[in-house]
Amino acid sequence: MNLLEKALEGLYRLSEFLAALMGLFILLVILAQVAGRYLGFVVPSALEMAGFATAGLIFLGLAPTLRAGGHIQMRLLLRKLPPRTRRPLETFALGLGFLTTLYASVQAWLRVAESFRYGDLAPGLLPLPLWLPQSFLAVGLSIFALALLEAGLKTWKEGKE
Amino acid sequence: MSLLWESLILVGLLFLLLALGVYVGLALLLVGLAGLALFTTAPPGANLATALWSATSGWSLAALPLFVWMGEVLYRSRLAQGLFQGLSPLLSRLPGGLLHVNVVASALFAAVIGSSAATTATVGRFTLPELLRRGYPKPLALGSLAGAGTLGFLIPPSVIMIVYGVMAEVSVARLFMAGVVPGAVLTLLFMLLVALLAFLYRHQLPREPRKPLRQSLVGLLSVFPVLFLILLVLGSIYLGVATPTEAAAIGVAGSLLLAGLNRELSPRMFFESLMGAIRTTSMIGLILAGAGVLTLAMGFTGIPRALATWAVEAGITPVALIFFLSLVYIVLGWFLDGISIVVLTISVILPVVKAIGVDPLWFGVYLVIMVELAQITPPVGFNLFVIQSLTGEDLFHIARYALPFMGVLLLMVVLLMLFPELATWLPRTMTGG
Amino acid sequence: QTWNMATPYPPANFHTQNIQQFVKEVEETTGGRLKITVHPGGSLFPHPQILPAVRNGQVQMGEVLMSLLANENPLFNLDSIPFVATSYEEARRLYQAQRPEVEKWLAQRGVVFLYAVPWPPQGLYTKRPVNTGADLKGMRFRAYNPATARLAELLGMHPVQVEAADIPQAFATGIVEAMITSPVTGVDSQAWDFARYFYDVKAWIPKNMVVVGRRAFESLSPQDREALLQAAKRAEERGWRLSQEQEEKAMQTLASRGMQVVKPSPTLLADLKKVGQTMILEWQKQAGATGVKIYRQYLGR
Ligand code: NA
Ligand code: NA
Repeated sequence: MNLLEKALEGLYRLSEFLAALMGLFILLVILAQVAGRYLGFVVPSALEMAGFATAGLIFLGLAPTLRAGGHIQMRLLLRKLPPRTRRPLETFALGLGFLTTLYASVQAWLRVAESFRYGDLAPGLLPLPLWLPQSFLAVGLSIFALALLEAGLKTWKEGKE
Repeated sequence: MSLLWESLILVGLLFLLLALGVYVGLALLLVGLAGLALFTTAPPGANLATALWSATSGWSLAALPLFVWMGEVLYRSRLAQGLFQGLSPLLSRLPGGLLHVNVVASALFAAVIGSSAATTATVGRFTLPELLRRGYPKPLALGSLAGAGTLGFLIPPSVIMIVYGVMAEVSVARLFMAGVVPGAVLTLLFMLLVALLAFLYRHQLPREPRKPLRQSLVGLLSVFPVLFLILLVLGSIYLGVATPTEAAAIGVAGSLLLAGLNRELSPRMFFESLMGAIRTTSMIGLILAGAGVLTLAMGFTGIPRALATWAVEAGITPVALIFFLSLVYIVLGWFLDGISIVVLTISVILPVVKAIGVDPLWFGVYLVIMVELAQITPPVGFNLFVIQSLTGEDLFHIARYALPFMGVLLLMVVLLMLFPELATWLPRTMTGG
Repeated sequence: QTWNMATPYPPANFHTQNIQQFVKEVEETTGGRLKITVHPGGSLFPHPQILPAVRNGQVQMGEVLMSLLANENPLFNLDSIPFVATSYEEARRLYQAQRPEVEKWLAQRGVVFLYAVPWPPQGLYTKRPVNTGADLKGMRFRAYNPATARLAELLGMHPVQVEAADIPQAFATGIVEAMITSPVTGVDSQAWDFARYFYDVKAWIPKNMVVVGRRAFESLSPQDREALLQAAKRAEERGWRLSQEQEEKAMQTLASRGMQVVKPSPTLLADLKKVGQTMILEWQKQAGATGVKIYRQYLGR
């Protein structure tokens, strides 16, 4: 394993760790809301924040899920092809996925910048700046793009051997 | 260019991308982008960002990772096996044996979980490995789960009913009540179908050893912890302790507590269950995000609205309208997820539905069943995706296994048309109007 | 050209109906040069995303509840402070005082303000009878923004956050025991299913505003721009009228469906007004000089 691969591996781990924090946060903030109703305190914007954390969890989880082979694709036709034709097609599909995700992450970062520039706030009890949860989405998508690029390059190399 | 051509081009592109093996979520996203860029004046980039954010950050989605997490905890503990073993002696006496566990467990979990995909994931996570290990034929094990998992939207709580109720201005509480009787009827129909299929496959079914009655009763005791959990979640919703999302969090806490009491909870188990929940949620979330972009593109192109308007102009009587709408919903259901279908069409369909004298409450239940159907039709069907990720089986194979269950769902639509009281009786009785 | 317009409320709501009429008039008076496709019920974007979408040019037009922007600028909260404006006549004066600042704030974000239409005055929905402010003490009250949360706190109620879609179940199961909203919203959500009493306290009169992106607006010929503004003016007049008609109709519907539609007791009203006074004082501190100026202007001093 070379240094670059190690660095990428670390990045995916970080992404997974952040996603796990989001999951814990969702559980705790909603449990706290229930408890608060009986103990007489209010967790401001609990549900709203849980929703934001869900978006964070989904996007930060994309790259680790890809590594675990968790994403859905139709392999019906690919599986019937001989490896020699299959490899280029797989590389192409991953490349297309990489470009799509790259474009989406650029747009997500632009949205973060836009929310930051105008100081957009969540409308609920807690005036949470929206750029913060939105940047989890952008970070997750960017790491996902890297993971797709790495997977694509790997498939391409394997095809050449 | 006409809307017809635009639709055909987008459908063709979607099929091409899927056939190439592009991940489903990304394929939907790309088709949505193409639709925005080619057929609308709306700027694609900014709309893409909005769609990704709003499709995944809503409060209602927070219940998804929690209910999946609960299923992961159950899967990793002996509690899940407990439910299986507890139900086995009773249900193995029925023709079809343990296949009924898929149906009964789905119906039970549907009363706790708001979505069909989450119900399928929670139940399938522990029933599928066990059924396949015991030698039940794949078509029956996977098909019955795909079918019965759809109960998740019909039996309350239901995310789809909330979405429809808000858009159509129909009381969500009444919609929930309206789903109860059809949900029970559908459960029975599924069990009948399982018995029928069991007869057809009788030579391939494993023989379940008849256990003595005493042992069956001891086995029933092992169902108790899981029943307690279901009562905890259901009870907290219906006794007014918690909303469905909160009940989901209580469910996670309760399942962790039970695992702890069984001395099965370790830091390792805790984090593995959480990671499992993250993977499933991310998998569904990527598709939701992609569908969100496609949905937004569709909204701008006006294709679904044109389709619906066309349907409205073609049929005038309620029966003709429902028949025609069913065809439209089946076609839309191939490519779009349930919530998208409801959101896209309801604002055009509903005025007409009301105008020709169809009860919006009844229509909501009908719509839920059409959404259920969309869950198990390829290439975009969330129950199919869940089962594919659980077993690695091909999407279209699973869909073929689920075919008889699609038939039952269509039969349910017919029953609902013949006996509208199935949906309307309970809410009328309970709210006095 | 053809524009897209995103709105948050369902097709049958009077705000949406009014917008449909507005759109029809725009098309007629511009001789079909400007067509607007309305996407109601949040079918394009959820409510909080509508204004950013107009700002970005993702859609040309949108409709937004003004107090949704309360966190970003307290000015938008003024029509949701209890008992600042309780009649349509007061609401109109408040609107005239707010409008220049609202227009300025939106203009800084590349958005042109067209018009605003009020919801009917807000009433109190409860399960149990309420005769004084003390009766409310300890009740679970639905709070959906900072102002309603503060109101609950000042009345000794427990603020509970429940999303609109969850209200019926929350009431049915006792998670929520009281809420404040308009009679129209009560009819929309079939409040008779879960609440017994409607107290016509007329606590405040919130408004929806209709906006257009500046780039889209400036792309119109001067003639069409004028036609759009004229249609907006008519829509505003029509909307204020519709709102008043809807108030009476909605209260009749609530009563005919078995709810107790009640005039609040003088004690209850006095207790609520006291809270309103505290809140407007707090609001003035928060809103600063501009806010105070607008509020004074509304009061006429
Ligand atoms: Na359910
Ligand atoms: Na489908």
